[in-house]
Amino acid sequence: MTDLRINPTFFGINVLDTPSQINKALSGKVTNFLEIDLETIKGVFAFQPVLQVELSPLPQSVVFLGIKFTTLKDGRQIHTSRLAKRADSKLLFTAKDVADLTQYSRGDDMAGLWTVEASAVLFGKKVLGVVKKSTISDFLGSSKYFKLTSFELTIVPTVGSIVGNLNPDGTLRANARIQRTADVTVSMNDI
Amino acid sequence: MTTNWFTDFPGSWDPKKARANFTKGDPLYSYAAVIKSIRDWFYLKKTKVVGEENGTGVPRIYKDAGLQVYVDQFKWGDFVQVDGEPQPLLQFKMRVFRDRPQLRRQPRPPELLIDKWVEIRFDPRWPYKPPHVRIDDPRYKRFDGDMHSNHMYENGWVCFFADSDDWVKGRDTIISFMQAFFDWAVWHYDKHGW
Repeated sequence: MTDLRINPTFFGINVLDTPSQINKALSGKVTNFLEIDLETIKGVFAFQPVLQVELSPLPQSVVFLGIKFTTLKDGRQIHTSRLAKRADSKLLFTAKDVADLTQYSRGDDMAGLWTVEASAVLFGKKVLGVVKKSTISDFLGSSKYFKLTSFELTIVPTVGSIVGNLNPDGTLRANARIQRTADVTVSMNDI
Repeated sequence: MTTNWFTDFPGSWDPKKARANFTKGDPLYSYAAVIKSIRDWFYLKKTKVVGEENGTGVPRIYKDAGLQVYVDQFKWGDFVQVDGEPQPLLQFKMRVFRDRPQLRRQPRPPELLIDKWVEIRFDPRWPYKPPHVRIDDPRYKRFDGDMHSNHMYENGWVCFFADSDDWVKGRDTIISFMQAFFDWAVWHYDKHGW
């Protein structure tokens, strides 16, 4: 039997403003290991994982590739999403079921380390009995997955810089103002 | 309970302990604003080590004084005891160059006035009182000459605030404080040659 090779060629997230609307500007900006300012990303609806994989060699028989996206906030699992597609040389998985992030819209709740993990499981027709949505869904829910790849995004609380309010000699302009951030926790890591 | 101007961390401050709020107080003078302002003003970049930053090779230019200031390294994670209380210690590895006039119509490279570590220590009453600054070099720290004519206190701390209104909260910042230090450094160099 030949080993099937699953090669993730892209893993990222779409930033959604609403359940159906992608924020293209932010989605293009958010890359793996990025550190992004809270003010920039605050108020988004969801992070939608997108994974592209290449399979080789292409199996002769009917094989499915199941993908599980796990979203973690500061290491704590907050959401999982599973989907499957029939194996092909190139496959694109876009999570349909996403975590609603509006619950993190207060204060600096969004700030922290966000991790999205992609893991996979391969299965044939035989394990399903009958190939239909419900049997696939049951199988995806009860399977063991192996980790494929992960994505990290750090959201840091906004710290005001006074530099835009300074004269060339470093003194404050008469009408200097910066946004107050006293209600957020800014650790030494975040400064 | 101990209260510090730079954080609302409850109890005795220990920099190794977890998360704390560094945006305490006036947002123009919070510890986070001080650090971020220095980073932005001197074009610095964070490293992977919290509290250690590097220069990007871009100088801050003080046009009127003809100075170019390169901060090559900046450390802000250490604290020192002042009057029994911890205070942030800012450390800068900096090079200060001064433009030189042309000689026989030929441009000359700028002269290097300072190539040393400089440290800033905060007063517990910040931002109502200015911080303290000195050049971290034995020549300054162990200086026992005429302190008055060098405008230095004991252990090399620089004295450039003669009047009570030389430092005004609401007008002065950590950045204008550093400019006052550069003015002193140029004055001291011209007067004493070091």
